[in-house]
Amino acid sequence: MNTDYAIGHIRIRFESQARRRRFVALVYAVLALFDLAMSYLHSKEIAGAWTIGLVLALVVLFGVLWIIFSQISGDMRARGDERETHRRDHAHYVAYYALLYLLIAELVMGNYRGPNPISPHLPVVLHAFLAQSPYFLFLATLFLYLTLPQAILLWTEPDMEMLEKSR
Amino acid sequence: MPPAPGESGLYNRIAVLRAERGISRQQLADAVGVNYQTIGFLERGDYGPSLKLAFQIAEFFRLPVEAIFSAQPLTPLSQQVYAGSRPREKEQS
Repeated sequence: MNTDYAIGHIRIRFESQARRRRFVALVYAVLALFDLAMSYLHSKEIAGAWTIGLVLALVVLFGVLWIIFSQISGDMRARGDERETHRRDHAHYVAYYALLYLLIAELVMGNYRGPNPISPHLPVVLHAFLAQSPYFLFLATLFLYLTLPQAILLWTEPDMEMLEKSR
Repeated sequence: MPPAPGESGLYNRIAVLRAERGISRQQLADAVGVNYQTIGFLERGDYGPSLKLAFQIAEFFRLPVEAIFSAQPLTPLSQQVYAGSRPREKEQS
């Protein structure tokens, strides 16, 4: 793992597990907002300029975070470190096994042909969200497919600072 | 005293050998082609190396692989070196 990341003159150190976990939480908060905004756009035939602006801002923010995210989780091909390769393989296995359940849920929802389960008495916002939930889930799966292995790696790697201090 | 085997279940003398020869983790990592953090995980016994890496480390220290890694707790090197000479010392006295 590349625990020392530099953007120009700014150096960010990721030895601390707590710092890494906060970063992963930030990435997923941005992704959740992006997913919600996209689902909202999908529900409207004509979206307002502010909505499109928000979505574009989130895309740019996610792009920046994605670059840092993939850089600190390391480049397996560049280093060829056997421990990192082993950890990465395990993270991919765990991530894609978890995604399988999400895909099954989407398949069931997508092929549902029974009566509409969404009550018309629900608040309008919640009703609109539930109606868009298949689209929301599809995007969530796509984002998780792209990010989950790295997130597992960053989340589960031990705290390097603590390990060094304990020696 | 060798470090506890950690998650790998292997004991090793990497930290002792490194200290004895004044080699940093980074130098050893560069020599065997791994990340310096991996050397830390190996030393703590949290990671069991592949056969290839174990032999690379043994070659780097110019020692047999069983002198560096063991599934059993390793005795201090000084104890191993002087264990054979003790009876002779007793005979002389």
